[in-house]
Amino acid sequence: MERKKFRKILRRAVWIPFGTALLLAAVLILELQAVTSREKWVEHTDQVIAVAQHLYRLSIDEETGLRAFLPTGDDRFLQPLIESRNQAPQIEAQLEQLITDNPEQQLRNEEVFAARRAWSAWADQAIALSRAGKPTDDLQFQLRGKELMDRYRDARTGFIVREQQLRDERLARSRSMVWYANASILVLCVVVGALLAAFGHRQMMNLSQSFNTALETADASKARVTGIIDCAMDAIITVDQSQRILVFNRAAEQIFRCPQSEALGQPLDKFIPERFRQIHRHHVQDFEKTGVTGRTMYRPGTLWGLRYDGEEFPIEATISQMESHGEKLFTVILRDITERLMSEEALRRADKLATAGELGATIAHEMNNPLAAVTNLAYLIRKNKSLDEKARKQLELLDQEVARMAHMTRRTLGFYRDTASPVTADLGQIMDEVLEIYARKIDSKAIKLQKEYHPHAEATVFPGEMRKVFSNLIANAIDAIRGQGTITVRVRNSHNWNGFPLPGARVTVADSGSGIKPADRRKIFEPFYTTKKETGTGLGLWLSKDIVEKHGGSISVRSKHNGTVFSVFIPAAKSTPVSTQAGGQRQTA
Amino acid sequence: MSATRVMPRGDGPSPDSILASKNPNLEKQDRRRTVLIVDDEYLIADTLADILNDSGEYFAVAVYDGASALQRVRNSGLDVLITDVLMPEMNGIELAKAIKSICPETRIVLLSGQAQTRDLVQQAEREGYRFELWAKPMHPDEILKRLSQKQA
Repeated sequence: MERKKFRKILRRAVWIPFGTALLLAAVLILELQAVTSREKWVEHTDQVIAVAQHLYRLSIDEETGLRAFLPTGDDRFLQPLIESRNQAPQIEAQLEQLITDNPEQQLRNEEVFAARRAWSAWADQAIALSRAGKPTDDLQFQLRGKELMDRYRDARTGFIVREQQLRDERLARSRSMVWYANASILVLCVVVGALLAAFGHRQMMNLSQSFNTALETADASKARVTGIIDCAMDAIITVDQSQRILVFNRAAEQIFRCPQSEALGQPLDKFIPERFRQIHRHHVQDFEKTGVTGRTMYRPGTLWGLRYDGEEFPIEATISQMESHGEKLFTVILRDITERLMSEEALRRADKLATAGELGATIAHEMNNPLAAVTNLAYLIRKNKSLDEKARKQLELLDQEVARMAHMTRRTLGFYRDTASPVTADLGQIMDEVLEIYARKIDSKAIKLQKEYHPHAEATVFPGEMRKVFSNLIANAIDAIRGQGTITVRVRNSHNWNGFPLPGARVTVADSGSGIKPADRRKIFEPFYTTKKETGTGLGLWLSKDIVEKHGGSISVRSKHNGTVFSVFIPAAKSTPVSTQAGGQRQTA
Repeated sequence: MSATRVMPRGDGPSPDSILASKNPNLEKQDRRRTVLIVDDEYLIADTLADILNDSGEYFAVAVYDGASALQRVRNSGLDVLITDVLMPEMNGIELAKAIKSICPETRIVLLSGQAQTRDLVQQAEREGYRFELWAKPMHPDEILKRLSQKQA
């Protein structure tokens, strides 16, 4: 997951609950305030009532004072009245201030004050009369006084009652406010809680999903890398600083013939021949010091690996290093170069032989003249009549040996010219020519030669090429026999064994040697495969197979412990139209 | 140790070689075909001449270079020329062409130990000449056999 997205989620996860809490707090505070203010108004009303009642009491005190004064005329009884009159203005002012919010009550209050002032005026009148010694018990006068007092009393009571009503109202409202606040807070909390829960849940799901995606991506990435490493053709081995194996891919399993489970955790030494282990450690240490990312591992001479089964084999390797999470890792990538070295060796040998061949050609050239002279001389000497029988016989043998030498040089120089295009030839004849060359060798090895020819076993061939093939087979047969043995050569008309039954000729060369091992039977037609390490090029059968197949034929081998049979089939006619030397085109279906 | 030299080498013609200009038995020579053998290797030329002469069918002379050969052919005709190809100064093919111009009927046999001469012969063939190319060393029996057969 990208950082930005994550930070956004983080921000939301922090601010939304916080914001919601603040909101909730705000709502709570507002509601508390509302309740509190309601309570205050109730108190206010209480205060108004208290003050109003105070004023009322003061008025009562005034009346009481007057009532006592009037009959007695004693100024002492006027004391409450005077005190009340002293206190009243202040308290009246207080009351006036308290009811500024309520115009209705203000009006009533005005009435009350007016009534009070009216009575006060009557009271003053009464007091003045009393002081003047005049009677105050006039009924009308007293009734008026009482009337005024009643009026005041009603007004004041009315005011107070109204105020008490107000109080009840306000109290009720306050109570309902509290209830409302409780309910609304409960609901709000539940709602907000649910929302937060849902929100939190969603964030969690998002986070979890992102996490899973990240895991999957990492897994896929890891799988991809593992896949790449596993299908690599070269062995990839990663070790930690203490040379313990952490990675051992499939190619490594195959090359070292060791399952991964056996290799992981093992020291790399296990796969290095003992005598090189110390050197390898030094090499790695040096490499680590250089700090270079990677390089080819090489020493003078070849590097060697050690297979699980103990076999040593040549390798070519590179080593690289990297740091990962604080630990140092070394990776060795190597390949088994056994085959490559073998083919290099074979090429070198073939090259040597080619040079030798050229040398041979040069020598052969040089030899021809002396050979001609010797041939002639031997011939002339044989003509000498003064020779005894023994000498004659010896000269005969000399003659044959020289002839053999001549054959060899001529063959080396390719003096047997091949035809320009394939011709129909009797394979028996060609085989006889070849056998003549090897006649001496066959005799000297006490090998019995059996020939079974059909007459006119013909095929379309390049005679020179066929000679090479037969020569190869005969030479191999001779080499296969140790001591005594038999070579059987059969030439007959035949058909091939697979595909269309083509007519042609089949030549088999069988020897009574010790046979070819089953494992080798597959390899003998491969280039550079030979059992004659010093003299063999390993190319004879490969070339022969090539020649035979170019003729449209086939070559095969059967072998047991007591002999080997090579079988060559050449079709009578090439499967593609062939232009013969004379006699027109040969068309085939 | 001194050995009696049966065959002189490099000194010139052997006393055993029968030279046309010195042999009194000219009648015998008429029945036999004349063969001139040219090779810068004296031993080969001499032994081959002896072999052909011993057979009784031929009258063979050995020379060792083209110039001598031409000289002889100018003096008298020639039935068969057997010559080496790779020789200093004049090679066998040049000699053959020269002799053909003197004596067109002569059968020309090129005897060579080198495989490359094949190309030279093919080239001459393209120019219209017909020469035989035999590989050295060839067994005397084979040489005699081929000589007795008609030209291929």
